[in-house]
Formats: sequence, structure tokens, C-alpha cells
Amino acid sequence: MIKTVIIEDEPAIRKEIEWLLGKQPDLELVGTAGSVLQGVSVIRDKKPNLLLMDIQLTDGTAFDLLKRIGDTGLQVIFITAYNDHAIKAIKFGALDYLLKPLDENELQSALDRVYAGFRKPVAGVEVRQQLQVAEEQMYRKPEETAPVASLEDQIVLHTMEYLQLLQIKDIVYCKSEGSYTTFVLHDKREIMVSRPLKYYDDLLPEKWFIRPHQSYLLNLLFVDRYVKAGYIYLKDHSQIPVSVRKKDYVLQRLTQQRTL
Amino acid sequence: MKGSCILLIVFTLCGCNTEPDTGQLQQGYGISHMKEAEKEALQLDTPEQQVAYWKEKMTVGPFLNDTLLQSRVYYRLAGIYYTRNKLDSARWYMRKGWSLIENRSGADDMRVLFNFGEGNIATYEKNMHQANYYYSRAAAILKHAGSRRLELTPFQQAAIYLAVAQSDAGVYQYEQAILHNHEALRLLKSDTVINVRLLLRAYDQLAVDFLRLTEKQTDSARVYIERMDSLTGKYPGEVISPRFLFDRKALYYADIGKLDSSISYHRAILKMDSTAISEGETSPVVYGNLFKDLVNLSDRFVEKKQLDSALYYLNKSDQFLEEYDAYLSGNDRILYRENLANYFFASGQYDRANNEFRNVLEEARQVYENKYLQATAEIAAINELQVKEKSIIELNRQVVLKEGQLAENRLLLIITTLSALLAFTIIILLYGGRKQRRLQAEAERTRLQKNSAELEQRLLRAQMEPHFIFNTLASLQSYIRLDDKEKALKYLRQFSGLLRNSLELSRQSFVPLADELQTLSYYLKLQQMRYEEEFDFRIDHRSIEEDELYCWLIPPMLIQPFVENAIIHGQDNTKEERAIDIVISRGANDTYITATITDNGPGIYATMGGKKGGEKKKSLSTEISRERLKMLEYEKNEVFDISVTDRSTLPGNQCGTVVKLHIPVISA
Repeated sequence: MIKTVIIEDEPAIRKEIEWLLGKQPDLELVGTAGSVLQGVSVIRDKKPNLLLMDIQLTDGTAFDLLKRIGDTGLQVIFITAYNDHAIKAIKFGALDYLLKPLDENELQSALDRVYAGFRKPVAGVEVRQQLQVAEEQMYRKPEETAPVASLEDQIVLHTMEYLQLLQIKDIVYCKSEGSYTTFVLHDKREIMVSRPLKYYDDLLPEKWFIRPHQSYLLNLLFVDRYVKAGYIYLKDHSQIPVSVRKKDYVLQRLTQQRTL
Repeated sequence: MKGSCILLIVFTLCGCNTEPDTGQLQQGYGISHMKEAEKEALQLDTPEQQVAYWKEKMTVGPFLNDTLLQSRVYYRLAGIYYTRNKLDSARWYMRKGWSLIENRSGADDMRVLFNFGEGNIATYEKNMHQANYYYSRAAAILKHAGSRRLELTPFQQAAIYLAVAQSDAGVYQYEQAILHNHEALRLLKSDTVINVRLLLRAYDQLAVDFLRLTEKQTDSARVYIERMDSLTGKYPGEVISPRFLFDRKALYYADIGKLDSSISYHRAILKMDSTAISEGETSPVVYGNLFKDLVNLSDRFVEKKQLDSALYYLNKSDQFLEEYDAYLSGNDRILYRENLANYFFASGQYDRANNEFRNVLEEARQVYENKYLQATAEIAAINELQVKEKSIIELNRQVVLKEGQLAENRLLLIITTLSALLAFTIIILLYGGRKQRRLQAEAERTRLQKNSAELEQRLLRAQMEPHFIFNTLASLQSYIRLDDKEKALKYLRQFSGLLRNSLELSRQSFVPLADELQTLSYYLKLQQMRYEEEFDFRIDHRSIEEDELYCWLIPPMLIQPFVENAIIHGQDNTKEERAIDIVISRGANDTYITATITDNGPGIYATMGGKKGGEKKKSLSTEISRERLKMLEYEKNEVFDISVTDRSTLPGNQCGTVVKLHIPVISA
């Protein structure tokens, strides 16, 4: 049985989640809470394996709560009504989240992933590290609406078989293959992820990543030169095509001054 | 499809702006002068000559002191600039003309035209919601004036209704669109002369609207397609291109399952669009159309299970996407992805189909979010305009600048607008050194202008922010899922009341006190249900007379953030019955009222000291109220302050927080 705690400040929504979880034979609901404060004490008391948690609580955020309980190795499924900032942070950590109003199918597939994880843990990265990566983004410039990641930040990639933690500055470029994206890294490794390129175009810092072509997202760190015939040469001599339509934009981005 | 629609809009607007018989003046005298002048102006060869002609006219004879005539001349000038795509100048003249008739009765036909013109400009700039706002206003005035019969010809009125209908469809209000199209048809039929183009447009719009309704009405669509057909047959000379008709037929046949017919019409338009592009057409709309042709064809073949042909067109659309991504809209991409998913599904590649469906969902969500943002921004822009319009125009009159130069020069226009807005920077100008003061003023202007625009936008979002909406919907879903019908109904009632009021109120800068209080009460009842009756509340406005509630106007949504605070912070109190008390009372004179919000929570000192995370967000919305009051102080040159007191500092054994606001009042 997986011991589960729900943390949600709206009573009605809390009841709905309780009801939905009641249909899960492998879950045992051991407690609920409506705030960060209550949540901390319930978790310390009941030692759950899984948290279903609203991000924006009245007395703080889900990340405030996680900070307070420290590293307990529990799984988390986040719930949010609408919060670009937090969702972006969660995506950085490749963590699971659900949108309100809750969709029963989405809940089921998130839980299925949790079950699968308990049966056979995903190789590579621990939940603790995923949370850390997300937290790093969450607390970056809280006064801005969207986090601006820096090159030093980390990101977690979720492939078919494993999780990969890497630093943004190690990404040379991303290439779109239909609804898949291949990451080409500094050490020549290639990692394929089942997300479209657009997903990472929104996530990676705009200041450092440019899209010279529909199918390529490129780290400016590794650009060597731009050839007027419509190519960008990288420092390792590989060639990235530039769309006719994007020439002006590329030229403008390459000549911009950047500071680390 | 869209491309041709835009063509039609331009066409009708030209019609309204440059033909001499457009709308006549209501007042008896003056009409003859105007008509004569319009004829003379049309004789002139170039737009420049026409502009010069009208400007000269305004300085002489009957035009000099007749604001109605002048307003009409401004509309003419705006029309000339519009047809030359100089939208800034067009808009400027339109606003000028508008300001002349603002407070006049009997200028309804001008009001219709000005709203119509603003709608056209907004459409041109792709601000669909703004356009819809203005068009709807034009239609409302038309409808309202129905019995008094404006001096606009039935054709002109029909053209306006058609524009409204098209704009309704643009913001997905198909039922509304159908009503407006019918209104246009009624007007078109009331004349003995047949206007083929307008009729075609009405039939065409109706056919599409019926196909787009949530519950498609293919039979009605067929009727209108048939009418288009017979009209096209009868007056072949009047029809510019059969593309419209083919497009509608393709859609219709696909809907009733006659795929072969649908495909052959799709092929015909594909050919037309390809030819248009190879002949050098560069409008993004044509590119978008071509893309849709390819995707649609592929989709039909998927439906027919001819997967080879489907793949052929799919590849073609894929290539197109690679090459012309910038020309395509979010909706185009969704259409493409849907088709891709259908193809995968039909060809048994379920994993990829599933993946693609997920992409469609993600893309749709993004498009939706963008649209939401755009709608908010557009409506905020309208609000802002209405607030500023009067003062700008007033000040513009005083700023002595050559008008000709002003109209031509975009930069100068912006600077004038700004300097009017920020007249006080001129005071700074009087002191500092010449060079320095120019720099300073420039910086200050941009900052303040940005501030006020931001403020309006943030106000809108704070009231009905997505977070609040989705949370409310989630609670509603819970009641439904757990089968608590009574609660769900009650909750829905409060929510729609709140939503309706804030949508209506947020368009105005001052609203009746009664409306504002009703909104507050909806809000409080909703929150009460949400937090399971954890608190009681009372709104007391005994010191205000009944009729004053309706004729006193206050800025909307100033009080709500403080009430929100009282609810959230009062929550920590577990000792006694929680209560929130709102008292509205009259001020020392009739220029303001006071609103006092009292809770019995732990008090402001405790809450400020205690939490961190949540605190920042909450003070944000009260901050907006503070800033708005500050701007009002500046505008009205009066003090509207906010005082916050912890009740533990007051005599007696009290706890909680008292917030007292001074709010400006104007009488309706």
C-alpha cells in the first residue's frame, strides 16, 4: 500500500480528490491538510510515500512546505489551477503535475507512473534531485512572472528508459524529430526525449537559445560563425541550417552583446 | 477564406468613406453644403488634394461653426487616410470628429459610423475583441434608433450588420452572428434594388456560421449555399471569385459525408490558391489558406481510407509548415496536428497518434491562453482609451502644432499624445536645463504611460485572474462529481453573477455604487461557500439613500482586494465566530464615500510578522487599489487615503484589522 497525503486548501476540491483516491486499491489515504503549517505536521506524523499537493496554498507554496520537511524521499504530484511560474519550474524537474479542474484520466496516468516507479524505480535521478532542480527555478526572481533560467542551472530530461540530469550549459543544440526532441550534448552524447521541440523552446532561457530553423534550437555558447549562404557553424564544426525567413533574426541575435 | 473576407471589409469601408451619398446629416441645414462638398472632393485626383480640400473647407462658411458638419469632415479625412493604410492618422481624425459629437444629441448616425470605423481599424490590426466591441456598439445604436430611422441607407446599415456578424464569428459567437446576418438580410431585402455583393456576403457568412455552430445545422447551411449558387449564376459579372462558394461547398459536402464531392471542390480551391501565390500574392492569409487546403485534403483522404493520397498531402503540408511557419496561426497548426493524429490513427500507428493527440491538446491550451491574454489586453486598451480620450482631445486643442504635419508624422503624434497625458512634466521642463530636461521628460513619460497602462491591465487580471477562475471551476466540478446538486447550482449562480458583473464593470472607470456592492456580495457568498461557511459577513449601507445607490458612481473593484485580505488573514482565528463587516457611509461632502472593512482575525501585526510566501501575492492586489487611488488623487486634486489599523491598538478588548478607504464619487 502506498501511504498518501492530500494537501489542498479548498475543502470541496480536497473532498473530490479524497473520493477519487478512494477508487485506487493500491493507495491508502493517511491524512489531509489545508495549509503549509498543517501539511508539515501531518507529513511528520504519518510519514507518507506520496503527496498530492496544491502549489498555491493560503500561507505559502508547495515548495515552501517541501523545504520545511527536508529530504524524505517521497513522491509528489503537484496540482495547480493556473500558475505559469510554478509549472515551468516543475517542467524543469520533469515532475508530474495536474491541472484543475482535475481530469480523472490524467490523475490515473500520473498515479500509474507512481505505481510503476514503486515497482521498478526509474534509473538515473532521484526524486530529491528533481525537486531540487524545480526549486531552483521556483525561487529564482520571485517578483517576475516567469523564471529566467541561467546557464548554470540544471534540468532533468525524461527519456523512455531513464532520467537524465544535466546542466543547461552542456546542451549544444536540440533537434526536432516529429514529436520527439534529440539533445546533443557537449560530450557528443545524444539523448532523445518524447516531447516536441516547442516544449523546450519555451523552457530554455531565451537569452541563450535561438531557433534559427524550425527544427533546431541552438545554444549561443557553441556558435562559431554564421555563413551568409544560410548556415551556422558550431565550434565542433557541425553545421546548422538557417531558414531564409529567420536570417535577420539570427543576425541580430548573434551580434547582440551578452553577459554571463 | 479569411483573405477574401478582409477584401470584402476593405471594400465596404471604401464604400462608406468615399462615396458621396454616404449617410446624410440629420439637421436640415448643412446637408446641402456637405453633399456639394463631397461631390467636389470626389472630382479631385489625388488623396493629397482631397485632404487639402477638406481642411480648407473647415475654415470657411457654414462649416466653421457647425460641429456636426466638422465631425463629418473629420470622418471623411479619416476615410481618406484609412484607404491609404495610414491608420494612426485615420484614428486621430476619427477621435477628433468623435469628440465633437460626444455630448450632443441627435448625432446617432455619426456615432454609428465612428464605432464602425473604429471596428474596421481594429479588424485591420487583428484586434478581434476590440473590433467586436466597437461593431457591437455600432449595431446597438442602430437597433436602438430603429424607429427614429437614421439617415443611413438600408445598404449601409446592412453592411454594418454584416461586419458585426463577421466579427461575432471571429470571436466564436456564431449564434449572435446568425442573428446579425439575418438583420442584414432583412435590410437588404427591404430595398427594391438588389445588391449582389452584400447579399452574397450575407449568404456566405450564414452558411459558414451554421456549419460552425456547436450543433451543426447542415440543412440551413445548404439552403444558403444554394442561394449563393443561384445568385452567382444570375449575376456572373458581380462575382469576383468563386473561391468562397467552392470552399463552403467543400465544407458542406465533407459534413454530410459526400467525400468525393468535397475533395473535388478542395482541389479546385487548392489550384486557385496555388495560382494566386505563384502569381506573386504575398498576403499571409493566402498562405494560410493554401496550408488549410492541403491539410483539409489530406484529412478527407484519411476519412476515405485512402492513406497514400492522405500521406501525399500530409507531406506537402509538412513541407509547407517548415518553410512558411511564420505565416501560419496557432489554429492552423492545431488543424495540422489533428490531421496528423487522425492519419496515424487510421494507419494503425497508435503510439504516434496518441502522442500527436497530446501535442494537439498542449497546442490548444497554449492558443487558448494566448487568446485569453490578448482579449484582456485589448479590453484593457479600450478602457484606457475611454478614460484618457477626453483629456487628450481637450489638451490637443491647446497644443499649437501644425495639423498637417501632425497627421503625417507618426512620431509627432505619439509625442503629442504623451505630452497631453503627462502635462505635469511640462512643469519640470520649465526649470531644468534645456538639454537635461528634454532627456528627463522623455524618460518620465515612458515610465508613467507604461504605469497607467499596466495598472489597468493588472486591475482586470486581479479581478478575474485565471487562478481564481480555474479554482472556482474545480470546486464546482467537485460538487458535481460528489452529486451535491443544490450546492453546485447555488455556487454556479454566485459565480456567474460575479463573472457577469466584473466583465461589465471592468469596462467602465466609474460604476453605480449599487452594482459594486452587489458584486462584492457575490464575491463574499462565493468565498463563504468555498471555505464552508467559516465566516459571516454583513454589508451595511444604511447611511446612503436608496436613489443615491444608483446615481452615485465609484471606481470599480477598489474595495474587493481588502475584503479578500480580510477573508484570507482572518482564517487563522480559531477562537470565535469569524465575521467580516463592511460599512459604506457618506463622506463630509458629496465628493467621496468611506468604506470600512473590519475583521476579527489575528490582526495586521500578527499576519505581517508571521507568513512570508503568501504575503507578497496578497499585498499585490491591494497595491493596485492604492496606486489607482493615488492616480485619482492626482486627477481630482483631492486626498483619497487608505488607513489600516490593528484593532488591538484600539480601546476595549478587540482583535482583528480595520481598513478604511476614501473613495471618490461622481453623480450620474
